[in-house]
Order: sequence, then C-alpha cells, then structure tokens
Amino acid sequence: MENLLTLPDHLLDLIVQRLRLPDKLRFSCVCKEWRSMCGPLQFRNHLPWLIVPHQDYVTSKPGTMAFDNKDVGFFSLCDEKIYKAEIPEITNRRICGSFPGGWLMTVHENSEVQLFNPFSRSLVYLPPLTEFPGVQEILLPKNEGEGSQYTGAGLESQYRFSLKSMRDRFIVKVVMSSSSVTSGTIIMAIQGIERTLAFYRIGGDQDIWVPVTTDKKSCFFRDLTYYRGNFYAVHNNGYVVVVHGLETLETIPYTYTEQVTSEPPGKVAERCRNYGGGRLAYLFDVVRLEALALATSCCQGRTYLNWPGCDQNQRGYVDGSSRGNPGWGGACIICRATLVEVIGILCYGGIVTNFEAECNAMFWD
Amino acid sequence: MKDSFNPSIEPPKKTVTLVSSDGYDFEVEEEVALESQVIKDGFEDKAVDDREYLLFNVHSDTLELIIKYCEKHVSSRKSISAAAASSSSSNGEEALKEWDEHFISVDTNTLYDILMAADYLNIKSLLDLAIQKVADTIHGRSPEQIRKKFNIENDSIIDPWASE
Repeated sequence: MENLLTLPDHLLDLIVQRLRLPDKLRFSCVCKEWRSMCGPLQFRNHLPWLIVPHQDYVTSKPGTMAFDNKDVGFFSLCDEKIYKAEIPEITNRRICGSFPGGWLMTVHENSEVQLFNPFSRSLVYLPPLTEFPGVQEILLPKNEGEGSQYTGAGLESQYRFSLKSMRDRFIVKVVMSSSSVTSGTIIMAIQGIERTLAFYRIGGDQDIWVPVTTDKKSCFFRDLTYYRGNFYAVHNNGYVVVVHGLETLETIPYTYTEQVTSEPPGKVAERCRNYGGGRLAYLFDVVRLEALALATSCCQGRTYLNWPGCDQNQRGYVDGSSRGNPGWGGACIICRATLVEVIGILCYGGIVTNFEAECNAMFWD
Repeated sequence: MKDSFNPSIEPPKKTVTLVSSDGYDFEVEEEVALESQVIKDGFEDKAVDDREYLLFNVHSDTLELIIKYCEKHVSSRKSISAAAASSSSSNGEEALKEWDEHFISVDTNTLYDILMAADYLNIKSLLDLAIQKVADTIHGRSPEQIRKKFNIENDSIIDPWASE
C-alpha cells in the first residue's frame, strides 16, 4: 500500500515547512526517515520554546539552577502548552548559554562544560569550569583527602564557593562567533568572580580558555554580543568595549579591549551599577552603540511572561535584539527561578530589524 | 488528414488529449490542460494536431480528479473576473475555497495520488492544497496517531517528546 513514506523528499520538505513547532517535533518522531527531514535548521524560524523546569523539579528543590532529572519542560508559545522532553544529557547541568541552531552550553557541578544540541543530540566537550581564567585564580589548592573536589575562595579569601555556586555563578554570559560549531569558531564568555572576558577557539592549537586581557580595569562586564566579526561587551558602568586581536591566533597582549562608547552620564551610570546584582537581559543594538549605553540602563525587568504552573518567583523575561539593523537577530527569553538565577535561556532567530525584534519580545508578554 | 471529409467541422474549442497510465484517453479543453505547468511548457513545441500527452505516472482515477479540479478552477476564474468586470459583488473566491476544501477531503491513498500527480504535472495551487491538507492532518496528532493515519510502520524510533 502506498503511503506518505514513499513521498519524494522535496514534497516531504514542503509538508515540514507548513508544520508548527510542536507538530514538527511529533512529525520527526514518526519514523527515522522523517526525523532526518527535521534537521536543526528547520527549527530556526519558529516561535521559540522556552526551556522551563519540568513539574517534578518545581516541587523538589526550589532555587537551584540545574535540571536535577532528565525531564526538561519546553513551553511552546504558539499553543501555550508545556512539552516534556527526556534529555538525560542535561541532568544536573545548568544551561549557561544558548546559541543559534539550538546549541546550549551547559556546566556541571563537577565543572564539566559542554556544548549540547538537543535537536541533533550532538555533544562537544569544552575545557572545564576550573580552567576558566577567572575561576582558576580563586581555586584553593586541591585537598588531598577530598579527591578531585575543588572549592573556590573569594579574592580576599573571605568567601568560599561551593561547587554548586561556582557552577551557578561563574559563567555569566556566552556568545559564539558563528552559528555552527566548527573549527575556528570562537566562544566568548563573561566569566569568573570578576566577570572578565575569556574565549575558547574551537579547533585551535590549545584546548584552553584564554583571557582576553589582564588589564585590571577590564572586568565587571554585564552583557556581550557578536556583531560583524567583533565581540562587544557592556561594562557595568554602561560603556561598551570591543575585543581586538582575535584574528591573530595570538593571546595577550595581542588581544585587548578598547572602549568604544563613552560612559553614560553620572546618574545613568550609577543606576547601572546599582542594578549589578540582578542579571537581566539587555537590549543590545550594536548599530547604535551610542544609544546603547542609555538603553542598557532603561530595560530592567522589561517584560515577563507566565506559563502554566509557574511559581511566583519564576518568570520568564523577554527581550529582543538584533545583530545589525536589519540583521540576524530576534528575541530572547530568560527563565529564572529567583531574581538572579537563570534556569534557561532560549533564543529565537530570523532576519529582522531591531524594532521588529523588540515588538516580538513585547508581543510575547 | 485524408479521412476528414469536412475539416471545417471542428469543435468550437481546442482540445488536448491526456492519456492516463492505464491507457485511458481524456479529452479536455486546452485551457484546462494548461493549468499544468508541465503541459504549458511543452505546449508550444507540439504540432497543433498532435496535442496528446502520455501521463505515465497518473492513473485514470486520479487524472479524472485532477481534470475536475482544473475545470473548476478555470471556470470559476472566468466567473470571478466576469463578476469583477461588471463590478457586481460576488463571493466566488470563497465558494472556490469551500469547493477546494471539499475536493481535498479524500482518503489517505487518494491524497497521496493527488499529491504525486500535482507534483508531476506541476499544478501549483493543487499541490499547495494537498500539502496543506497533509499538514492539517498531522496537526495535533501524536506520532502514533500519525503512523496509524498514514499507514506507517513504527521503525522503533525513540520518541523523547511527549505532551503533558
């Protein structure tokens, strides 16, 4: 008997294009052949799914940032349902970054750092958290009796960080220079206790996280983006720096940061500093860098959304931005368990103008 | 042609003969056949008295449906433009949409045949209609229900997704 399985690929492809995300995922589960029709790229231009804790998680341990079992919830915006996915790879990991194409960067309590794609299930190992420059410097010497246990101490050794809090605090934001995980792609992170910049080059000579600069003033960054070959970071005080020297394959002093916008006027700068505790998504429009410094201070807790069964303290924050205007960009949703803890991040891409991205973000509220 | 006694007696409209894979002839009006981009493309190259197309991939049952679809679309397009010309309001397009919906409400095997034929003959509107029908059928169904609906065997793929 004839059935849809024997349809030629180009017709199946036309069908796939008409399916909305939940339908597409179910479609991809019908058989292996159809799964192969639904590559990660097929998911690119859809309304995003917000990664939310699965129900069991909500009742078990409030306030942790990792998924403590293999069930991950995906909140679909188009039909307002939570879909449960078994993703054992993500168990006990905190999602510390998300990239186009569905890639997630995750970090484990044992300091293991991975790039993971839940759609293709590909996995890439990165050097562990303990090898991040901003983390290495505060690690206490390994205690003989405790085996491979690390603990971190604060700069003046007043604070001690447990493995869990190191996992949850020390990778602030990650950005990738390309949408594909291939040789030459650079992953830039705001990391460590001082929130400095460090990068990792995929397929590079050295399998390490490299600090961008040792300049003591170059710390306390709040946000990071990649635009036309350059990484830009927003400082706590509201100005923007650009990272230079990445193309040389050399490290310090060939890589350094340069301030490209002035510090915002006194009051705004003060507000930026005061909000330092809560990591929020910032509008990041590198085309209008001058306007950016002001904008960053104005979009605190802009919009949030609720999902079925969401806790009072758990809200998804929505923000939009684009790389270029118009450019490859979209809106981002951050889900947090408390004000400062990020549970999951999901980005939505597409060629849009910055204005549209903002509107999308608003629309989802 | 030597057998034609009176060449002046011709049908008022030009026709084209479509031959199905199982050997049936379908004589249709030229403009109906031209709904197919494939026939349209080859049309000018053919001699006027040799307008016969062998459609090896289309069974007579399906061809009948396809011709019905094309005839309907040609005639309703005429009536819509006529209505527009006389500036009288008409719900021709809505009526056509309704007709399409009814037309495509067929069993899975027929839908498959229509899909293949529309693709082969390159009739864009019909292909769109059939593709959308499949997408609509998939909408909201679980993988198991989709398999059942389309007679697909479970090749023991792991299904990590489940709706709450």
